[in-house]
Amino acid sequence: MRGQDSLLLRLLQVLAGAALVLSAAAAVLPGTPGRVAGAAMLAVLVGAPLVRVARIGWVWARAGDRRHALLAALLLVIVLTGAALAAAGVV
Amino acid sequence: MVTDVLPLWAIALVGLGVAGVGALGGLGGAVLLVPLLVLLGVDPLLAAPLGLLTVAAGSLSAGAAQLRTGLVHQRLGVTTEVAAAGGAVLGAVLSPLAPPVLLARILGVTALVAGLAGLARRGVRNRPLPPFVAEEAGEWPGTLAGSYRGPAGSVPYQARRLPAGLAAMSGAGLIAGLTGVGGGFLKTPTMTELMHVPVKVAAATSTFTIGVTASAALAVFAGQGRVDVVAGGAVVVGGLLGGAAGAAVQDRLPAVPVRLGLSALLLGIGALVLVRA
Repeated sequence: MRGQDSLLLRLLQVLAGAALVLSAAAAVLPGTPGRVAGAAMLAVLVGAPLVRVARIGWVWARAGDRRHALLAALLLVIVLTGAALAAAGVV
Repeated sequence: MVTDVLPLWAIALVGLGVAGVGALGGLGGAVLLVPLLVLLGVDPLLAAPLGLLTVAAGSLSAGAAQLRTGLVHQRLGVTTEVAAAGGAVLGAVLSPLAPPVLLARILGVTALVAGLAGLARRGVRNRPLPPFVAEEAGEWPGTLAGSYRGPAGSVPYQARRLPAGLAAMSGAGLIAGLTGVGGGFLKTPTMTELMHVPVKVAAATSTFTIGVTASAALAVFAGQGRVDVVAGGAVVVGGLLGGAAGAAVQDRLPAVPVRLGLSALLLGIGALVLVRA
């Protein structure tokens, strides 16, 4: 299939599996272990789309599709800037 | 805490149902989940992150399967997400300040308009081209064009009206950040009706992009301390299982009934939201 990326496919499967395990742990484990698993789940769910965008941007850059590679980089900058401002308590 | 209002098993069950329905039509399911949770007594500011958690979970669980089909147009997704993610970050920042009644009315009217637009269109816009029957399905490198495999051969398409599409996507992102819905119910009709992307490609691409939009808003919500991760765990378990089931069926469904079903769903949601407001 055109554009098939086996590494990306595998990565998405692993991250989806990790999110499932961590979310189940967050729902089942009481107290601090549950909250830690929940925080890890949140990190996976926030991070997975960004990893995907970074990966496809990298593939496009290597293939010479600079315009879309730059758009992927810009997208990451937007999301990470929002996260950084919120983490710093600015917004 | 959300768990002060609802037991974890109930949260998981609601997440399962809405993610399964949502994945069929490129919806994240949160457009159903958030109003349901609020009706059940959850604070809208706490329900919004749960909505986006189930959106992110459904998008992630469907990701690999939909990538294999060649229906996801990643260049179109990334291009439109630049606008949508910007809107989502802005919406998440503004959400604690926005009047809930005004937000609900905007949401309801938008869903009704998108549903009516989908119902008004007839037939299939992109016809199969016999010379392309042997072509592989997927996006065409460097462009916002591509093809997908239909019953009568490979069907080429080209995304149109990009500036208008970007404007609509930024609005979808803003609503996602403000209310906690994924915005798929706006993104899929925007791609099909405004940008002339086939409904199956639009639905699969929306499933990818709503995950990015959710990520952008959730990152801000997390910084604001609004994410209940234990309730989130319950809703995500349901969302992952429901999203996988919906994605497994999505590619086997015919385009026109999917579009009509999606439109009917949008009309119902719009009416419900307006009645609630």
